[in-house]
Formats: sequence, structure tokens, C-alpha cells
Amino acid sequence: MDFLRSTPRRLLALGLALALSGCVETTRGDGLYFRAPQASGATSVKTGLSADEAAAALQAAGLGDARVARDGSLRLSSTDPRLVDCGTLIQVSFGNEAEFPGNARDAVLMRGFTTPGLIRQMVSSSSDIRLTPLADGSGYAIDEAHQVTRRLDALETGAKSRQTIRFDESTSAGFGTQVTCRSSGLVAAVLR
Amino acid sequence: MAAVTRLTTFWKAFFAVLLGGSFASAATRETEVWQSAVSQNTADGYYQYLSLFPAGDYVDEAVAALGRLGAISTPRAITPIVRVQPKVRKMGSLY
Repeated sequence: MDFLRSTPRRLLALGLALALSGCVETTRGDGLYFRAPQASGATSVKTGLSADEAAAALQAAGLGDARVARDGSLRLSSTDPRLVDCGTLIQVSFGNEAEFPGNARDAVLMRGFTTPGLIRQMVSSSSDIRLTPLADGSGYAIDEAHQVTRRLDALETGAKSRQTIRFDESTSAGFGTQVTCRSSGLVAAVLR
Repeated sequence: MAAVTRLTTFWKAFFAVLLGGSFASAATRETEVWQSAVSQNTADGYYQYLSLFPAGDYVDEAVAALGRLGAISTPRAITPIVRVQPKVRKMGSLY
């Protein structure tokens, strides 16, 4: 253990041990797991883009047509799921693990939770975005209104449930205490 | 400065190829598992696919096939294929 006598070598060994520990896999029981959304919305964005340029940038990003008003503000209505972040679902079933977005449009969840049989999950979202020029001309204030609807169909029992949540650029909302959603901050990222 | 620009371009290209390759291989993997399920045409095969790709491109077809086989509610234990290790919390009941 002469190798560990000097402090730099101790630090090196510690670093290696930590790195290796990150590679070790542990098992998890069957079930559905949730990783909370990592994104955060923005209330404003600094940009030198004019309203027309901003509209073009949003369109180029595939978010749809933004309407430019006479006062220089922009309105965008979109059903693009990238505008919201509903975290990640991790399903462990039959020894397999699979990750998918919490707002995946269509997913099949396995039994083994509380309801027997398969559960079909369908998620849709709609977002209304308003960009208002900042007084100092340095960018835009961002106002977002998001609505996410989740439908669950139990394929065996025929039970159905449907729930809609609403949130804005700086708040979050959840389906019960399970999946939470918030703005992905994509609009600000596109314009930045 | 030119060297820095070339280095930046190299790394951008490197990561583009790396990420592009991983997305392509994920799609290929899904297609392989799906084709395997179709060729087996058993409940286990379709459950294998759904357990690996719950939000995959062939979810509709897998559910329909399980319905035809009368196996919507009778999944059995199958051999695991992959494992990942995210930091997560377990969810409660969906209903």
C-alpha cells in the first residue's frame, strides 16, 4: 500500500473508486419509477432578434407559426410536446428496464403495480406562448400557459381515467403526486 | 486561433457522429426486437418488446397482437435483456 502514502495518490485512488462505483449496476424491483423534470422555464430572454426574426426562429425550430402583433409582441400556439418537460418514466418489468418521457404521446405500462393487465397511457399537450418586448429592448418577457392531458386506459378491465393539469413558465403541476410537468424552457433556448 | 477553431470543429463532428450513431443503433435495436417478436408470434415475444420499448413505434401492433393471442392480462416472466441505473423514485398507484 505504498502507493497510497502520498496525498495526490490518495486523491487519485479515491477518484478512481468513485468513478468505478458509478459503473456498478444495482437491481431494482418491478414497478414504475419517475425521474423529475430537469428543465426550468424562463420568465424572460435576452436576445437581439427582432419580432419577425424571433418568429422565424421559432418556426425554424418546428414550433409552429408565431403571430407578430403591431406592438411587437408574439403569440404562439403549439401542441409540440417539446415545450413541456414531464420528466422521465422508468419501467421495470420482467427484468427489463426502459426509460421514456413522462409526456410520451403513447405508451403501454405493464401490470405489477395495482391494476392488472396492461395500461395504455396517452398524453397530449397544448401551449400558448406570449413574448412581449422588454422596455429596454434587450429581449422579451415570456408568458407561457401549458395544458397537459393524460389518459389512462386499463386494457383488461376497461377502466379509463383522464386528467388535465395546467402550469405556466415558472410553475409546475402534477398528475396526483406521481408525474410532474413544467415548462421545458425551449422558447428561451431557441431565442437565446 | 485557427487551431482552436479546427479543434472545436473536430469535437463537434465527433459528438455528432457519436450521438447520431447511438440514436440509429437504438432504432435498429427496437426494430430487431420487434421483428423477433413478430416472427415468434407469442405473448412472451410481444411482452418482451413492450417491456423494452413501452413508448416504441410498434406499441399499437404489439397490443393488437396480444389481443389476438388473448394474452392482454397474462404476462409471464421473461428473460431480461438490458438494465440501466438512473437515480429515480418509485411511483405509487396509477389509479
